[in-house]
Amino acid sequence: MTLYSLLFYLLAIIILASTVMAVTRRNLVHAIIYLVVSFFGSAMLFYLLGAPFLAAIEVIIYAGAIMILFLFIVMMIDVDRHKERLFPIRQCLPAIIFGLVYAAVGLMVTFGHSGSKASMPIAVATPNAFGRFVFEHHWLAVEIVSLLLLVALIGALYLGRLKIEKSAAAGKETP
Amino acid sequence: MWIFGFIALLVKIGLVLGGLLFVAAYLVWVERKLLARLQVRLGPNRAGKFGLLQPIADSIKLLTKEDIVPEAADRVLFLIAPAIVAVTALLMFAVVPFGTELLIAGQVIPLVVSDLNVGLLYVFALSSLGVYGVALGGWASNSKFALLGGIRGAAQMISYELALGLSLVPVVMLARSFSLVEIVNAQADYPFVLVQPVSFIIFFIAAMAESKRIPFDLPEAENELGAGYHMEYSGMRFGLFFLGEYVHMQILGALLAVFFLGGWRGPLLPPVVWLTIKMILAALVMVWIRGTLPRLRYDQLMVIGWKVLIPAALINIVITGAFIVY
Amino acid sequence: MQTADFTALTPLLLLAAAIAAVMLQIALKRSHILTIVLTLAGLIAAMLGVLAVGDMPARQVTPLVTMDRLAFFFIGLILTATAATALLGCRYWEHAVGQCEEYYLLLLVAALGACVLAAAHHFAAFFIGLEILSISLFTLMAFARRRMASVEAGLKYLVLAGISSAFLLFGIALIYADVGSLAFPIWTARLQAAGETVSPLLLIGMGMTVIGVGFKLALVPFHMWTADIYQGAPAPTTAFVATVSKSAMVALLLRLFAPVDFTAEPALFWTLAILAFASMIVGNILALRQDSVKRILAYSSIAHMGYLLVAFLSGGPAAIAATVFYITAYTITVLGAFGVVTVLSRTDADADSMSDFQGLFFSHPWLAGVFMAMLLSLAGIPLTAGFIGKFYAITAGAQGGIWWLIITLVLTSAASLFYYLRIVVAMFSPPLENKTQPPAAGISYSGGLVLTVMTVLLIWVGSAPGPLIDLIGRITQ
Repeated sequence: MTLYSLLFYLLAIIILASTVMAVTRRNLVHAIIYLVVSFFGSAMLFYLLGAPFLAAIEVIIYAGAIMILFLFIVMMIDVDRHKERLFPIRQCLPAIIFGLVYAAVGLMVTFGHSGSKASMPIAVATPNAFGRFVFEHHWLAVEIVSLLLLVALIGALYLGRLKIEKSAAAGKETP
Repeated sequence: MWIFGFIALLVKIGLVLGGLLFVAAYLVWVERKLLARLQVRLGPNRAGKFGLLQPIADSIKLLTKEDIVPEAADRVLFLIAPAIVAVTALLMFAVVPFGTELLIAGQVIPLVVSDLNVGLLYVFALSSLGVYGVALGGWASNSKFALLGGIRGAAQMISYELALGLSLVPVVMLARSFSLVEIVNAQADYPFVLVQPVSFIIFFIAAMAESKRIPFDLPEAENELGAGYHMEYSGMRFGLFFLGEYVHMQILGALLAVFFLGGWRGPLLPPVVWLTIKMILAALVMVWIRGTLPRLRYDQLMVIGWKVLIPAALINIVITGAFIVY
Repeated sequence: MQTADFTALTPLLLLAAAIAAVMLQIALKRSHILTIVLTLAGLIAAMLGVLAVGDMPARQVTPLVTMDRLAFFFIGLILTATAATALLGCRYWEHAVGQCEEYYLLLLVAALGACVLAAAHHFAAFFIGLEILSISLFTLMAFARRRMASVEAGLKYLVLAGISSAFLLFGIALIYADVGSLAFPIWTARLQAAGETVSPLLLIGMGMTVIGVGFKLALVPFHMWTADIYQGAPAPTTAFVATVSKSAMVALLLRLFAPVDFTAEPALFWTLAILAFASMIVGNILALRQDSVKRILAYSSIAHMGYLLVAFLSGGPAAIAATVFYITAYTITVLGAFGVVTVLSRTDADADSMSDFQGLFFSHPWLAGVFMAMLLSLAGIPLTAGFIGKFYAITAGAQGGIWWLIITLVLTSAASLFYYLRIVVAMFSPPLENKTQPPAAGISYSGGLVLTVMTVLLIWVGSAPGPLIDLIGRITQ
């Protein structure tokens, strides 16, 4: 086993373990922390596979921004600190079924597939090369995704603007 | 010869960490002295000449104090939180170059711990992870004041990280690289502060907000929140928060130097000295501002971040882009 | 990046320009009229763009989209339906919420997402288009924020669309693991080559893609959201969901599965056939038991997507043309039907219960007539567009020899007459004594215009379908 594959399996174990913990925790803050660890592990994996840009973005956006916003909301909720028990079986069952399906698929990908023997060449996508590729071959996708972000922003702004509307409505109804 | 490289790496890490901790300790002293002068006081003057031994006395005090964990606290997170703050701050220095290559016994040793090609993003990644230390420290203490401090800290750092990141986009555009070494190399002719004064100002303001210092110290506003997110901490864990803040000051000074002031470049003196001078100067300006300005209100903080700095940074990016293309 | 690329993208570019213009206008000065004018101008410009470049040879722009005649036809359909929805919204939103200019902005973005879906040539485009559409729809559904039902509809759609997207993404990942490419043609070629011995990986991936498509089309058993959302969402939004979202997804269905030979791929055929069968049966049976007009229309839409799948599954030469014709006729009809619901709605709640429509003939004879025409078209009565659509579907199915589906189609259509006629009967019954009728002034010029255009189209397509059939024939060659 080379150092490379050793690191890979180590990261894989960390990611898997922390994701399982994130899913099963009832304390939401703990779940978020485990999820952050999982994202961090994925970022390491990306780095290991030769995508440093993606790794950095994963940490900045997922672990750093999105999860902080989750934490932000969850911190204000009063969590019951002492009841760390599993979810009732009724809630677990569908998850277990889907988990088994996914596990079966994963095993199929790993063992049953003809292409599984070919090892991927180790390549490093520098930020420069990555940017060039995206903007030369997928410029349309970049533009469309920017619209996706725009519409999410507009929607959030509209739905979040409760106060103004209430005061405007109140102003309209009083006379 | 990888053994040699490995040893060189360890030595570099040791030197950088030692330097950072030493400067952090004396930065506290400098700050207290300077602040005292600004407020017409004397400052620490009992331990050693001019109070020079004060940092050592302080650290002995912090190390020997009892480490108290509040009864209702979330124990594990409470213990980890200060470490997150200190470690993320210390790790950021790994990509800061403090000179060109050094030749020792025929071996070329680059004077940077690690020249990542995504160095700038690495800094951001760590600084965004640092937010967890503040937020979790506040939450895990299970105290209202600490929680409020943690929430304020998270909100503030998230808001200003955007401005911080956007202010550096023009720098990356000019240097055509995320690597801090390349960015310093690109300033061989002139430092970027001359062509990017707007970026420089935005970065400086956002950096102060990131390090949670007056006028941006709402997370620890002592007259409203006691001490904010680190209210329940004692002993060396409090010391780690403290250390994190001062290391953060240094790292922001170093980044300011690297992005806008030409990094280690300078006449006559060796590169390391130039970088240190620029770093300390930036830190001194921060102390000066602390002695001068009052704290912002929460809404003012958000207005400055979202309605002033971010639009200004965006416009700056567009203008820079236009200049580069045409 | 060449000029030809931009020429081919003209309609999308014009739409994007309209989005930017409307957004800037809202930011600078809020004005409902100005926003409507800009929105319509943008949509009309994009439609003209479609007319200008629609006859050009197909062109693939980046690996993502391919602008061919099918794409242009569906883009035209989407733009028309969006314009109709925007016009319907004019009077509806004027007093319903405080500031409603964002509605048009969201409509435009959603239309753009739908256009991307219609032109998708790549799973990435599929996913991005779907997400743009979904995210705009959450907000459009929850747009009447003071109504709990509206917010609830938005929230439900958010959760369910999120789950379906997760399935879709996982399916895409599996397909990529097997095929090694995300482009549609490579995928279908692989499916074709595999024949009956398709690998389990591809099979599961395909199944998950079908779930994603089935959710948007509201096929049974992925139909749970439909009734609540049709009922809860504001009427113009419901019209949009029922037309634009569906037609974009049908376009995608054509791109994904039309090149596949169903006889060589029994797994796919049977999956879709069972979905179609279940949709026809369940949709019609549930519609029989409803008392709310919007819920009836919701369940009828489930059934109609089942009918459409029958046309699609026939696999004969007429399959694609019949599908395209069906969705066109359906779009016209549903726009008209929800147009009437919108026009009759009050500021606090939509016209929904049977009692809202009771005696409509005596207070608004024209509206009652229009609504009756639309309902008869949905039921498939001759001289309406719906009849031709159904007839076309049955013909295609007969050519393909899928008799059991055709028999189901005919029987369930006959059953569906019951609930459509219930509404018609209610409209012609004497009005309720204590019921305050919606004010006559509620019918605006814009709403009237939409209803007139849709009725004319309905009758025209229903009585003289030749030109449309020719057009579709030219597209689907």
